[in-house]
This record gives sequence, structure tokens and C-alpha cells, in this order.
Amino acid sequence: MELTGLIQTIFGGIGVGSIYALLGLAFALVFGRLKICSYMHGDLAILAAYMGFFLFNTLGVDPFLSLIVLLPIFFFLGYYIQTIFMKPFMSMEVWQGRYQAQIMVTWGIGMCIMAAEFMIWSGTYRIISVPYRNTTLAFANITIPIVHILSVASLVVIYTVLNYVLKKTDLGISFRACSVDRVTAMLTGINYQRICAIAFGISSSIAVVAGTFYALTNQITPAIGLELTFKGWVAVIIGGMGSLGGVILAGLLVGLVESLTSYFWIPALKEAVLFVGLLILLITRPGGLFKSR
Amino acid sequence: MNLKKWILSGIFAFILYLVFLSITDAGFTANFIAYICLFVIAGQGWNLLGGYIGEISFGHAVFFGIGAYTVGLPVGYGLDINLLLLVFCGAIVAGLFALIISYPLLRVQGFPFLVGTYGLGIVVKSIVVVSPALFATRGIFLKSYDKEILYPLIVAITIAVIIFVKWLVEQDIGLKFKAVRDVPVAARMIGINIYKTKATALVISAVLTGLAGGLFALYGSFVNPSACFGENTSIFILLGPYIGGIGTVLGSLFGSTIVIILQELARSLIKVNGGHYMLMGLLLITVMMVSKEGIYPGLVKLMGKVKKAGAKRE
Repeated sequence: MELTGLIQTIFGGIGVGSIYALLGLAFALVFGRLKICSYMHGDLAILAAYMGFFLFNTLGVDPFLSLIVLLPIFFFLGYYIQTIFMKPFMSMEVWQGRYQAQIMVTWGIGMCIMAAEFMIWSGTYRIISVPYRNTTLAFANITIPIVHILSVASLVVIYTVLNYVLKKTDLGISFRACSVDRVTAMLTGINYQRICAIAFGISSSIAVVAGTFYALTNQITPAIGLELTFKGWVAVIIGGMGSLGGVILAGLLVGLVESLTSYFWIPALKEAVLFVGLLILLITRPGGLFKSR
Repeated sequence: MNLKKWILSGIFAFILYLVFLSITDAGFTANFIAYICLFVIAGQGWNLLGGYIGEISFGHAVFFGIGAYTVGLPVGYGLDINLLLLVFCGAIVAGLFALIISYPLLRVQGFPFLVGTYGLGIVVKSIVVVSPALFATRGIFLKSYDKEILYPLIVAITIAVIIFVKWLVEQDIGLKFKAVRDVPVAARMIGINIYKTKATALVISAVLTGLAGGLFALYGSFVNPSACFGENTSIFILLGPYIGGIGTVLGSLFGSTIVIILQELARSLIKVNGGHYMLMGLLLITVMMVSKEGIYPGLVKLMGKVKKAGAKRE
């Protein structure tokens, strides 16, 4: 019986962790390659979750169907946020305070998004009550929610597609060129700002997927956005600052730590344990657990 | 020479405040000024780390809360110690805590530092929330301190802190701070120990923030986890210097004042959920887009341009 509970907890942790891994992937894509630092993707995810909630409650659209509408919308949202708000900081160097400026602007936008959610949907906890929310698959004594399986599957799909795009397509090649050497890339005729904007748009769309899965497994409230942002960043830091594979493992690890803490100890301390772990990691391996190269 | 001017204007401001107090008895305005002053002190502390070293901290509420709880806990356990003494003890305890925590935290720069400080805030808050020995979520009530002594005291300490920070950044150590922020490699080449310099800034910053926290406990005569250790406290401490102008003493003074006034206005006038978040977010975006350094340096630059244009015309 004891063992079953443990395995159950581990599977739950992986399911929760896949959401953090998705968010971490969104951050790592723009941070690891293009040195764009964003602090609003958690809020974007929650905004997408609320839109899914709205569509489900008024029109009865399934959250997965509404993704078809939401993904392009958030792609263009990210695209224009990058072109309008982030462009002035793209030519700054790191020591000139590039990250600080980017953090503050994106955080300001995130705060506006959160305030808008507060105004429209108020602070009460909301829930998307789809019929398959509590559906589980059972193997022997272990039951796994179907949503968790779907989120892990979508994580794998997104990772594979991203890798394919980065390695094989023209867009991916110019993207990598920009990340290696900005000036030379611009000399060969690549539009640097456009590549950055597209990358930001893609990462916003990934945040939408994360937000939808979060809404299907948890209750949503506007204030959760900043928390999600920080958990995504924890995944990025543990994963070694922007390697895509490392971030996914780190995100799953974050989820595991949380669920194991709730299982063995007090659930209220799960975030504390996570961040204590992070501090210990910073002492022993400042470069992250799965360092790239 | 310059410092003398600052001290004189500080004394002048204090006399002005005393006159103001004697005309209007300690009412809403005096109360509000004291509240602003608390965040000005904490903002100056934050600015030493965030502005002069360039490491943004999202967790200054930890030091704020430690200051407040050092005042609150002995009272909660029924000890009879002079409260003002406890306020200064709180500042020192916050400084010691910063000294210990600087070891892991300062190994990283930039936003891992930011995430680490945010995490520190969460850790300390959840520890306080779950432990009955620290009165958990109930909080501690203090007997209310005499307002007629407390308000002038807070204002006097604020002025002293501002002058101290101004003095500090003009000393050798202040120049070291700026060197570490601007060109770390060159700073190391001329023999500055980067870790030690950063740790010094963090400790002084924590001491000032802890002082603000201790005064907050006296001011509100109540300490609880969400008011002292909450993320909102961190955010308001951080926003002031950032909007006013990081790395400048006057800028962060203006910034903290503006942020607290706007926040209270938004809460009392705009009666919409989350209205003050919207206002803060818009203000932050506007300031960052218009002048990256903040309101005060932007204004100084603008004045310089206007003067230059005037000189050309002549």
C-alpha cells in the first residue's frame, strides 16, 4: 500500500512538473539563445487559462479546441509586445543593465495583465469543469489523470517540433545564427528584430499550452501568474540557463520535489523546500544541474 | 561641502515637519507621512543593493519582516524590553541574517539572484506561517506607541538615513560599489574583492530595511506574516527606487513617495479590483519606455538639454 502511494505521488509530480517544464521551455527558448529575459509568461499563461475558462463557460468550447484560436492570438500578442516594448533594449549589452530593463518592462506588462484579470474575473478561484477533468486511467492500483498524460505528451511533441524547427528549417537556422553572433547574422541579411519577435511569439504560444493544462488541473486566480513565472525560472536555472533538454528535466524535477514534499511532509512547505533546494544548488553548482555543453 | 548642504536641508525639513505637527495635531496626514517614510527608508536600503551594485532583489520583505518580528516576538512572549532598543536590535539581526545568506545568494548574478531572493522570501514566510512558536498566521499585537514621539522619530530617522546613504556612496566604498556594478572585470583588476563589496552592500541594505521593519511594527502596533513578509511588501520596496531612478539618492526618495501616494490614491479612489496593480504596471512601463534610468535622472537630463538649447540660442 505504502509503495503504491509513493509511485502514485511520483506520477502526479511528473504530471505537475510537465506544466513547469513547458513554462521553462518558453523562457529558455528566448533567454538561452537570444538573451531576452521575460517575467510575464506566467501571467500570459493565466490569461490564456481565463480565456479558455470564458470560452468554455459561455460557448461551451472545449479548452483543447479553444487552443486553435488562442495559439495564433498569443503568438501575435507576443510578437507585438516584443516589437513595441522590448525593441529599445535589444541593442543594450548585458552590463548596461539589459536584463534589468527587460525584467522591469515585462513585469510591468505582467502586472497590467493581472490587474485586467482582477477587473474582469475578480479574485475568486475559478475552475474549468470539463467532463474528463477527473477521468483517470488505471494500471494495477495506480491511477493517472488523463490530463497529466496529455500534458506530458504535449511536452514531448512541443520539444520535438522545436528541435526540428531549430535544426532543419530556414527560420531555425537564422534563429541560431542570431544567437551565436548578432552582428554577422545581420550582415548576411537576417532581420534580427523580426527573428526575436517571432521567437517571443512562439514562446508566448508555449505559455498558452502551459496555462491551459494548469487550468485543467488546478484552480486559477490572477495572483498565481507571478508564482508560475518564478517556478518556470527555477526550472531554467536548475536546467543550466537555457539548454532546452535540461529545462525539461529540471521542470519535471521541480514538480517531483513539490509532490514528494506534500506526500511526506506539510503541503504548505512545498515551495519552501523547493527554494531551499535552489539555494543549496546555488552554493554547490552555480551553473545549474544540467549544464549545457 | 556638498554634504553640509544636505545636512542643513535635512534639519530644515525636520523643523518644517515639527511646525507642521504643532499646527495640525497628529491626524491622518501625519500618519500618512510616517507611512511614506517607512518605505523611503526601506527604499534607500534597497537602492544600495539594487542601484549601486545592480543586483535586483525581490525579497527585501525578508529583512523588513525580521526587523518587525524582532520587535514583535519579545512582546508576544511577555518580555518587557524597551521597544526602541528592540528596533535597533532588529536592524542588527537583519544585518546578521543578510551576512549568513549572502554566502549562497551572491554566488550568482542577475536574475538567478532575483529568483533566489524571491525564493528566500517564500521560504521565510512559509516557515513563519507554519510554526506556532512564531505565532503562525495569528500575528502579534503590540501596545500602541505614543504617536507624538513616534512620528517625529520616524521622520528624523528617515532624514538621517538619507544623509547617511548620501555620505556612504561618496566614500571609497561607494565608489567601489559603482565600479563593481559598471565594469566588474576592471574592478577586480585594481584589487577590489567583488564578493566582499557585494556582501557589504547587502548587509548595509538589510540593516536599513530591518530598521524600517522595526519602525513599521511600532507604527502599526501589529505584526503578521502577510503584512511583514508578504510579496507585496517586497514589490513596494522595489518599485519606489526603480521608478524614481535607481542609483540616485534623491530619485529613490521621490520614487518611494510617488509609489506609496499613488497606491493609496488608487485604493481609495479607483474602487475596482486590482486598480492599483494596473496603475503601477502602467507607471513602470511608461517610465521604462521613456527614460530607462527612472524619473529623476530623466528629469535631470531633460533640464540639461533645455539649458543647452537656451545657451545655444543666446
